[in-house]
Amino acid sequence: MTRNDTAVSDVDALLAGARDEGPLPSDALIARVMADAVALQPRPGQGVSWEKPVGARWLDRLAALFGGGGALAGVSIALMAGLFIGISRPEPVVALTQAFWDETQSETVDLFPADVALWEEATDD
Amino acid sequence: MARDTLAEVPDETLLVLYARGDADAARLLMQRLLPRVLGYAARLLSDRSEAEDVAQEAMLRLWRVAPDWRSGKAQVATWVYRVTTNLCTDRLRGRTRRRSVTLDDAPDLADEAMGAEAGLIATDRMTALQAALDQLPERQRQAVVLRHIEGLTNPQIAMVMDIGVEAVESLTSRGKRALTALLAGQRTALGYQDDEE
Repeated sequence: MTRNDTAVSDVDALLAGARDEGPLPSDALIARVMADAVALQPRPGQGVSWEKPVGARWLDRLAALFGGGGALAGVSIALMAGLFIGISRPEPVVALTQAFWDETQSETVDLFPADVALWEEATDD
Repeated sequence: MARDTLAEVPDETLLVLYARGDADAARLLMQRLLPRVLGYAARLLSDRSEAEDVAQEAMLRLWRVAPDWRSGKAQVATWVYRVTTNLCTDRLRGRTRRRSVTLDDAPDLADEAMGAEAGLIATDRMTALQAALDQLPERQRQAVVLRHIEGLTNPQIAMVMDIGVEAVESLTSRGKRALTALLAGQRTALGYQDDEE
């Protein structure tokens, strides 16, 4: 074996030894890494996208109140239609409401008669 | 999933399980990868504290990428080594004034090696090896550590270092020759018997 071969062999032995001599993670490092893992771990059912745009969150919550995005869209359309009718007051709607109120009869009934004599007569008995 | 069931599961599957909320998968993945990443960073940086920071950051990036991990694109370990390499490179370049460890910083082995206990000799050898590694050019050091200490294959190293396999072979070859030359004068001091004499 030449001197160079021996030197190479020594380096091989050193490198092989280094494989088993690596630093072990300290308890503190393990704790830090696990804390990061827990903090960044997606929750079950959260889906794979753990970072949502901030603007999407309030809309999601609102949709959940109405039972989902479809229901929220229906309510929104109904609200806008109501506002439109109320503000623009289309002629057929005005005619309909007028006809309804004109035909309505009102009658006043005294639930408590104001005839004092009637009360007095009752107390005399 | 139970931990004994997870023991044989590939890294990539563990990462997917982690992304689905499996806490055991995170711990097992950490146990597999953290010692390797820490050892690699320590070899590149020669600084335990900095190596710990780099290892934590590399693992943090793994946790972050987990939900978007695309199967088959890269091996998890290779990906983490690559992130670690880049983080170490940034650190090394960021050192405004770095006092490099040289062979002169290794303990005075000539007086101690002959009569020292085996454990001390082993420690001295590792110190001398690290001092020699520190004198290699950065890319050669990365390639030598990945090939001969971390045990990666040349194609894996090519992915980690983002170079071709031939370039890896060249770097490891030149790096090992340089290491041999740097350590050649210390054979006796390191406790090796000189067979030539």
